[in-house]
Amino acid sequence: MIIEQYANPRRFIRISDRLIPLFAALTGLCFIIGLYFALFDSPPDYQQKETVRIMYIHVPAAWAALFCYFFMGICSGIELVRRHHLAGLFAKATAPIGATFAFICLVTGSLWGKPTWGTWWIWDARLTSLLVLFFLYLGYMAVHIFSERRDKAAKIAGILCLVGLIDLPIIKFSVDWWNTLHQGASVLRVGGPSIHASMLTPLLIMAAGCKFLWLWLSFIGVRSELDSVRIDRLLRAKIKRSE
Amino acid sequence: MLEASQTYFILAAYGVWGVCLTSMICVYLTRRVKIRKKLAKLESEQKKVTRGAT
Repeated sequence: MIIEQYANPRRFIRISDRLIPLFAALTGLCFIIGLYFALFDSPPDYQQKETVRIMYIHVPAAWAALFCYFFMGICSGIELVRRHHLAGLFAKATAPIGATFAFICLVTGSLWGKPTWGTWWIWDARLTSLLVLFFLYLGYMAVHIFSERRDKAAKIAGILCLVGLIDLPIIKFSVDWWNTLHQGASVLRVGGPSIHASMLTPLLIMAAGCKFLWLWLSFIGVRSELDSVRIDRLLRAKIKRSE
Repeated sequence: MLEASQTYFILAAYGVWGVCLTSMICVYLTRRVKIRKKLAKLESEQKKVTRGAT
C-alpha cells in the first residue's frame, strides 16, 4: 500500500532531498507571479474599489488554514490507527504553518473589514469559527511543547486534532447556515466560481503558492523532527556511556 | 485614483502577510540548520567513541 511505502523514514529522506528545493522554487515563482497579478494586473472592484486586493492574500490564507487542519486530521488518524510515526511528524510540522495562515486570515480579514463593513471585528459565525480554528492550532502546538514524552504528546494532540475537525464544516458552511455579515462562497460553490477570471487567476496562483509553501516548510519540519529524534537517541547513548 | 485610506489598508494587509510568511520561513530554516549542526557534532563524537572501542 502507498502509505506503507512512504512511511519509511529513509525513503522519505531520499525523496525529500529532491522535493524540498523544488517546492521552494515553486513557492517563490507562484508568489512572484501571483503578487504581480494581484497588485498590478487585476481590476479594482466596482464596490470595494482597490481594497479588493486584500482578497488575494486573505482568501488563500483561509483556504490554506483549513487545508492544513484537514491534512493534520488525516495524519493524526493514520498515526493513531496505523501507528505511522511519520504521519504524526507531518501533523506536528504542519501545525505552526496552519496557525500562521489562520492568523494572517484573521488580521487581513480585519483590515479588509474596516473599509468594507465599517468594523474591525464582529462576532459573526464565520469569523468566530475561524478564531476557534486558530485556538485549536495553538492548543495542538501547546500539547507538543509542554508534554514531556513525545509518544504521549502525539497521542493527546492527535485526539485533540480529530475532535477539532468538527470546526471545518462549521467554518465552510457558516455563511449558509447563519445570517452573517461575511459574504457567501464565490469560488468553491455549486455552479462554479462567480468571480471574473481576471480576479480568479491571481487568487488561484496565490493559493497554489500557499500550498507549495506548506509543502516546502512541512518537509523541512519533518526532516528536523526526524533529526531531533536521532539527537535524542545519541544523547541517551552518550549519557549511558558516561554512567 | 487610489484613496489614501485604501492604500494604508492594502499596505498594512500585505505587510502583515509578508512579515508573517518571512518569519515562518526563517523559523523553519534556522531550526533546521541548528538541528543539523547539533546532529553532526553528536555523530562525530559517536564515531570517535566507536573507533576508540575497536
